[in-house]
Amino acid sequence: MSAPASATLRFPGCAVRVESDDPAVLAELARLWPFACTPAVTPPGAARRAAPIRPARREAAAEPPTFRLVATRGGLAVHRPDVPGTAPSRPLPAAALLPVLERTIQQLLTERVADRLLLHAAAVGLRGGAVLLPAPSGSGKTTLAAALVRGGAAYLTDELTVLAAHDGDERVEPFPKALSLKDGSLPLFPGLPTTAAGAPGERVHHLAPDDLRHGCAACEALPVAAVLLPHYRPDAPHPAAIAPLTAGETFLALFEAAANLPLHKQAGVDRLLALARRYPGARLTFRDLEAAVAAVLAHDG
Amino acid sequence: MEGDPLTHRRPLRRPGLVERELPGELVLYDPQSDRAWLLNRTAAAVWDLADGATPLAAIAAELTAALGVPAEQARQDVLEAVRHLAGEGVLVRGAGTEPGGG
Repeated sequence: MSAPASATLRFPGCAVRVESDDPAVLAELARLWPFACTPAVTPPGAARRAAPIRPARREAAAEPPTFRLVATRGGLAVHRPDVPGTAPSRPLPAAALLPVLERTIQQLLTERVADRLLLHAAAVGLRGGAVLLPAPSGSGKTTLAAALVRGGAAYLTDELTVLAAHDGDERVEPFPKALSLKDGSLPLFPGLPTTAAGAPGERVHHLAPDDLRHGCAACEALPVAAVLLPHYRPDAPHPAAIAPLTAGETFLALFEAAANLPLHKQAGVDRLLALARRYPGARLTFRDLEAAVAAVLAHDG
Repeated sequence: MEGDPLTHRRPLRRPGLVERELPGELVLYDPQSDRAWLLNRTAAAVWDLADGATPLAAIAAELTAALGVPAEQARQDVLEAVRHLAGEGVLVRGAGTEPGGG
């Protein structure tokens, strides 16, 4: 067992310090969130990647509250500055430690990032605008985003879209974490270096954006240009088909994808309504990835 | 005796919900529970007229007059909409509503 080392992930309004006696855990965190991760002790083999943007450090002057997560072979303990005492270490099987750590960090983000709306959605940049891909897990949004990025789209995020209000419009800030591909999607991206995490059957493969296409991460926030709801269905009648949604249906999809709405309440609802009015969305049902990419590229929003 | 629900039921909008109009639709949002509902134009008309005093028959008649929905269709649509909205807790029983109504 190694001596404990640590890394700090800095996001707007939230910093998470992770300590672990397992260098592989810190190395994987640096791979997952390269734009936010500052290893206090660089884990062996964890090459620092040049970050396309550093959204957290823009606001580093006001140091946000720091959560402390201790990830060991015995489990995961969470120390919160806003909760007295220490949460007991939660025993976890080794294979579950990284996925639970990842989910815990994302949960802390959704609780603390109050000045931005967070959506469970992938997002890519096309023609200078952001295409939002909100969908529940298993709908194919990461796979579709990866294929779009491989085809030339700018990478914004694969599962946590950060919306910032800007002069009456909404912009998507890059959150270029490593893409998390499930077992079934991996053969669609052969030959790419990935690292696996999680137990068999629930395993995800982390793929660094630069390994998908070098320099693909968006360097700046992009205005929302379209909302597409991906829905992968192996038995879909067409390889890919786009069906328009009403503004209300678009709003509901955005509402259901909203991860931190309790922090925003009615103001957040009104922001999502404004988005839905301006960009009535469409549902993209597909069974063929290439056809889905072509449909997105042809979609005029 | 409940009688004809169209005559006896007088649904009432649950207070505290935020309304937002969209073309042909209405969004309701409950800030307490952070839940939202999307209403089509029939359900939106029911919601709009659910003042606790107007019976369903009058709401159905209004639907026919305002949207041109055939009378029998309007009655069925209103009953269905009320059933859904009441089931979601968006409509509550009006003051004059008999038990089981509303």
